[in-house]
Amino acid sequence: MNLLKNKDLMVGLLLALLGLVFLAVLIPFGIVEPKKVRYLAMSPSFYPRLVAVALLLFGVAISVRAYIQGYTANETDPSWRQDAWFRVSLVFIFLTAMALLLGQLGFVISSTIAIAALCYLAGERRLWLIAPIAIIAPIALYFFFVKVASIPIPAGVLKSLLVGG
Amino acid sequence: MIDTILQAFSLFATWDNAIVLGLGVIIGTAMGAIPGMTTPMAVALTLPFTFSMQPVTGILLLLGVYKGGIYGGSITAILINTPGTPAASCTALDGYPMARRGEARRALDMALYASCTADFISNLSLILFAGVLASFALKFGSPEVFTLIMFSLTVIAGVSGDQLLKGLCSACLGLLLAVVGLDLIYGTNRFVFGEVNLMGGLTFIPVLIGLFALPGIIDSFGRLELSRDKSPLAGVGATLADYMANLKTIVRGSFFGVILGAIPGIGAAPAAFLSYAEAKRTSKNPNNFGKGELEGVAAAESGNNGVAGSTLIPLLALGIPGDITTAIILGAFMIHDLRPGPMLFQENLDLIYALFMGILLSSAYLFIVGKFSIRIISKIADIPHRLLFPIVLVLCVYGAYAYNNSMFDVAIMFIMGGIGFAMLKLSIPAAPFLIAFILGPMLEDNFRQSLLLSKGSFSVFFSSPICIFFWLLTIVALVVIIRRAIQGKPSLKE
Repeated sequence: MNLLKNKDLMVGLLLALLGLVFLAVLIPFGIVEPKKVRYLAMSPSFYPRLVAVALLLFGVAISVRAYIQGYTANETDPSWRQDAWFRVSLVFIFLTAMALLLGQLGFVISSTIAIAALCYLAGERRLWLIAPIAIIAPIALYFFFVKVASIPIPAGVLKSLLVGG
Repeated sequence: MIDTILQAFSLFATWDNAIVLGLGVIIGTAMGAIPGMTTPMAVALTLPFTFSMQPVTGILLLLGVYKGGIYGGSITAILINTPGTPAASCTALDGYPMARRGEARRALDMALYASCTADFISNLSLILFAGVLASFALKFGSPEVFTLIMFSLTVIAGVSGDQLLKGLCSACLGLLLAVVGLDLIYGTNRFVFGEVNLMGGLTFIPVLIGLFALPGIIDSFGRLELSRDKSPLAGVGATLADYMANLKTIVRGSFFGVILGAIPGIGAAPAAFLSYAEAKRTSKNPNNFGKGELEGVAAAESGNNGVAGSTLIPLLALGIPGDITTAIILGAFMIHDLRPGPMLFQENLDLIYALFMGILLSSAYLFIVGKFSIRIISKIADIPHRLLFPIVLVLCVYGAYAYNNSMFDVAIMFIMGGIGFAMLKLSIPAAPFLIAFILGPMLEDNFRQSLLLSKGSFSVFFSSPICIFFWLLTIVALVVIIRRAIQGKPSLKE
């Protein structure tokens, strides 16, 4: 049981496993070898293999060191909230939703919703402050990128309003 | 000679040049400070405005944007941990912890002083040693660059803190991620898995933003709203004493920048990381690096800006653009029927001297623009996190998209943000990942090109004094790292 609580042991094993996955799956199936390679070191998979072996070995080294040093109780972070993981999960959900909505609604609307939601989640309760920030910041960024930097930012549903036509 | 200098002065000393150069520095600083807007993008966006200008005026505008852009990248790196350029990610390592301590103004000031000093030294090197440095730079073939990058990678130990093994794993992951895309020699796919967007490899800006900016912000949502540490240095800028205490580091970093900048294809990031590593090695407080050490900011920024003048050496002396920005500037020369190289020094020496005068003036402009903007910009650090972080998140999305106009890059940024957050929670340092990701392609390309040249013989990596010099430096660095790792008692408590 203690071994499972030994964070470094688990991190080392995870990294070593990642090295193994690269060696056994990702490199053989993810790297297309040319029919003929003049020298072994010129092969497209030579260098990634070398790095993956290093990852495996370093991961094992972390685990071995952690095992030898034994389990040390992780100190709880005093500033980490009780509902921290719930809140962090919400941030990930908001960000994923934003990524999915960017194409449909456009950058301005998606960003407005994201800023408002994240400000509220972060603890800001003054709506008179959230509203202007959530509206002005995305519009200002939009016009900067489009007009000054000439980068076409997708306007989405606001296309007729922002671009015209 | 005197006649040429007088002619050059008359070419240079116009109001147009003075205004345009200052404007260029302002535009570059503003663009560089925006995540996703790189210096080459800023220079490319300004290029069309130079078509109707006099050659000297147009080129000075681009040079102003270039110099401002290099410095501007450090501003957001310090304030919101979102580097505007890859080289500025090194500045974020100590600059952002300083800002969190309430010393944003001091970090920004030091970044400015180091940048201006390095820029000035680099400009002087360009003017005085262009010929010598150009011929030295030409001696750098693939094996030499490979050994140089090998040495640069020793910086990973420096940014890993007391987590050397985890730092090495992090670097391995960065090297593996850098492999994604078409193989440069055989043209076959590597980790593409049928996704067309991956064929060109992962773009560094979304990776950089995702790995540096997002994890800290996401993490803050799980924390209690902390009252900001009230530093006695809050709002106080860097003093002359701070500058003098770091002058040695700044000058050394500048020379790293000058030498690496003169070698085509190296860029500012390796110079910044090398300067940082060397500063940490020689510092009295090496353990403070990465936790908000002023010397770390000075080292990173001097290395970063030390390349600003010297990248023009291969361009002006040999007609070889060392990076994308100088390639765009080469385009500006050609638009005005000028061909950089030895012939330009014979046929248009007055123009070269006029550019040199402008380049020297640009250091002064950089100082003025920087000093003025810091007063306003440093206020950003005072905005409450509950309002600032959501805006920064959205800025990150715009920045990731802007680089390639690609939603795929936005997705990559979010994925890297998730990976970065996991690394943060597992105490795996992210900086080695990023360094390896930036230097990895250079390492592999030069490794394989060297073997191609030598027909598979590894002796090519020991074939020149420069290679042997860098191997020796690498061995010395490794010995020091291993000794420190053995002497230090690693703890599981993180």
